[in-house]
Amino acid sequence: MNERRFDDMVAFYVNGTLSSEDRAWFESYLSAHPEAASEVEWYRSLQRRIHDNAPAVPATIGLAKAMTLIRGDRPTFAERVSAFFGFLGMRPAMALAGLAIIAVQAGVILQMYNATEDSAGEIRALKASVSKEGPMLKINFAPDAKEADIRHLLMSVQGTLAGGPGQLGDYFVVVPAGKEAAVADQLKSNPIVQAVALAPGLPPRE
Amino acid sequence: MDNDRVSKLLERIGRQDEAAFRELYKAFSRRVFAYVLNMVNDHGRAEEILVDTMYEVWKAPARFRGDAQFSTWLIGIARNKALMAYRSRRPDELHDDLDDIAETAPADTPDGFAELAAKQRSAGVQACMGKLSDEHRECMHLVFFEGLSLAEVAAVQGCPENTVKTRLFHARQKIKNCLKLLVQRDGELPVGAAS
Repeated sequence: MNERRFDDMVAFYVNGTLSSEDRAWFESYLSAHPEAASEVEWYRSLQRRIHDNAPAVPATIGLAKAMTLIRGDRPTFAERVSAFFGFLGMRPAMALAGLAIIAVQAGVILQMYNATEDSAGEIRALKASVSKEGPMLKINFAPDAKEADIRHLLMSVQGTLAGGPGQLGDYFVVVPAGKEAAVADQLKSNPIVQAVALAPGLPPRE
Repeated sequence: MDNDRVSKLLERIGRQDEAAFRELYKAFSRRVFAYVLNMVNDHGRAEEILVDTMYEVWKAPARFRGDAQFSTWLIGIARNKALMAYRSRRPDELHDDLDDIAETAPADTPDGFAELAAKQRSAGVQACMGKLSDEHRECMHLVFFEGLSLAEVAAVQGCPENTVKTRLFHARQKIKNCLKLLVQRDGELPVGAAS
């Protein structure tokens, strides 16, 4: 009977989770049966070996994947807009129509803005703008790339958005001088990047 | 990391705080990974399950109510995911249960235990752990690596405490006999010394 109780308790005595009452009983059993101490010692040795065999991995194992997953979990720009229209009580089709109107209006405004800038071309030519001088990288992102992911990626390579996205989806990004090739390689390995090329500078305005 | 700190981090995670998630992740990733690896024996799959487990925390941090240790709760989630992965394994990937290692042996002697304790090596223990059945191996890991109590092991494994005791008893017999065989094979321990 006592031996069975000893067997049931020995593992939990070694891992330190016995209640104080059970622990007292166990230790009194050990005092009365000194030969049982070698079994306890074997369990301790086993526990040490099991800890020795813990996989040697960094605490960051899988962290990058987890971060990508949780960022992907956040609503995209389109979802946020859709949710906004939904909040206003509009149906998805109406929301899309509203979105289209906003896009057209934004296009018209941008065109007017560009026309104004062009008229001030002489002044602009005299003004140095570091972020728009080459060389820079021309980047195309996957169609399903999220705004937050793009921003995060550009920050990770210390990139500054100099222009884009153009009609073909080209982003022009200035990166630290002399590191263009290394950054390009780094970007190419990211799944949200479709293409990276070295560009001498921003293309002329259309 | 104690449950108070965990609760604060979970509260911040509820507000989509990535820094809090990162801190929590780094605090528990190795333990969860070790547990899952012990179950599925595949680094890539273990990493996937770890990420999935932590993603569950991100999605619903309020699910942890503080009734148990956070690590035990986390292992419960990882366990369900590992079992699902296990079910999807092809039959030829399954472990052998190693019936060839006898559970019963002549009575142990104190000298045998002492000698075995002195001569068993980490690699041998790992090999013998790998030869246990899934439930026995999990039980040993939860007790000796995670340091869980009898009640906690029973809760994680979803079985009565007596079942845990029985599993530990059989696991102990098998692992001991396996280690004896290894030590004897290496010629370091006279045959029969520990049995």
